[in-house]
Amino acid sequence: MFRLLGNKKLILLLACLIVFIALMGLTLGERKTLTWPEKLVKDTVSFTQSLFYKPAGITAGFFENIGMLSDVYEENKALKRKLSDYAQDAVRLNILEERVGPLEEALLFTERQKQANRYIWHFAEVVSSSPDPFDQTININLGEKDGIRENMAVATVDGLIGIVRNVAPFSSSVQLISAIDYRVDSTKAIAATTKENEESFGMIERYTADDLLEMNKIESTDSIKEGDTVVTSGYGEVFPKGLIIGTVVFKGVSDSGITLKAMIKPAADLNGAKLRQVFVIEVPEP
Amino acid sequence: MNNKIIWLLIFIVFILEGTWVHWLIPTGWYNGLQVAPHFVLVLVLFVSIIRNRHLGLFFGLMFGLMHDIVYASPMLGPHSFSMGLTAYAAGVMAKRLKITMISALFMISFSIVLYDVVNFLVFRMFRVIDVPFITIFSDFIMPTLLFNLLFAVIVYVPARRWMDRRKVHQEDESL
Repeated sequence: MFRLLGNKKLILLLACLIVFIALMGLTLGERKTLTWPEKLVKDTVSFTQSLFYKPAGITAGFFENIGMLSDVYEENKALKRKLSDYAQDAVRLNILEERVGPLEEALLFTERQKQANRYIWHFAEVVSSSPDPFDQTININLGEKDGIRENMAVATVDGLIGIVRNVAPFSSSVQLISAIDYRVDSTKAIAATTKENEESFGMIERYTADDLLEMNKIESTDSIKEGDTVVTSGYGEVFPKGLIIGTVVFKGVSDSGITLKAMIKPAADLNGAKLRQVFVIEVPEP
Repeated sequence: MNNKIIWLLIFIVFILEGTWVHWLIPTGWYNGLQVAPHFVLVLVLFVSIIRNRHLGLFFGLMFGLMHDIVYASPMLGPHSFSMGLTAYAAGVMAKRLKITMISALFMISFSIVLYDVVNFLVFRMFRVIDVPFITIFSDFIMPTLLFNLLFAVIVYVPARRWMDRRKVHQEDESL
């Protein structure tokens, strides 16, 4: 080693090592805002990338569409059925909202309580995704100026895909839920329940190697079963309520033996490279 | 080739790496297998090997830092550090060996593995990931090496020609 580099260079190398470790240590963890050079670089590169990503997505989408041409007839039938269901549901929803409104008034709900479930869905386009699987992030073309803040949930039409990790003025980075791991500090577990039974409760804590989410801390009396649709419960105060996460494919006893665990197949495609349009969900602030 | 043009070229590859290259990687491989494009790294290694190690070090530090910022790594610095280190290491090797296609590809494959291993160790040290090394080695590092070596083979001849020409001119001018 000494022969290869020479004394002076070795000392320089060690000094560099110390500087870098200090830099990494200082910037690790949650930083409230990015510094301005970071914002500048991030916005510039993201803007340039958006120019490249769009045509690539369109081209790939075109070939996908040709591939799906044969399913169109079946899909159309299913969609028509859904549409009529939707019309019925909309009427029902209107009636229920009319009924709930006066009740909320009567019970003296505060403005915050009334607004708590009115989520705003911001449409965003993906501009790039990280080439490095150690950090599974995608960049989107909405930023601070569009009202995006840290820790907002991000979803596609299929379901939850991630959480906003940091924001620059015109772009932001999204950490995919495939990065979730309870042994790691930089990710957040998701409090979840099921669509079938709102009493169910569990924490999604890990993404396993076979592309499933592991839901832990389910009470042994819980009625969760295979085939249930898992949604966010909103108890964690990070994710809004009722976002679809996936379906239960396996239920068993957890490693500790006291509680149950369930394996969940994510509803959305979590392959960062194949995402093109996402929604950022804003929970109205009081 | 002018340094500025190399700079611009690698920047374009940096942009394509996050946008277009994903569409080229076949996804239906064995479950859990991951391949990451390290095209920027390969080009930086070429700079380091064909030009000189100091230029390579500088390029590596800059493009690594850009990766850290743009893709929101958990912290600033890991890619900058690993890319700078591997580029310098490749440059040091290149100084001692005669550069033929085989030796250059050998240096590049060694450096790609070094890059991923250093990244893994840094992330592991700061507890950003928690995966055993053996899994990462077989599922990620080896496929990634093969994929990027393919890219290195493709760009070897043009890179050698473009980057070397300047050197020849310089020597002519200095004579």
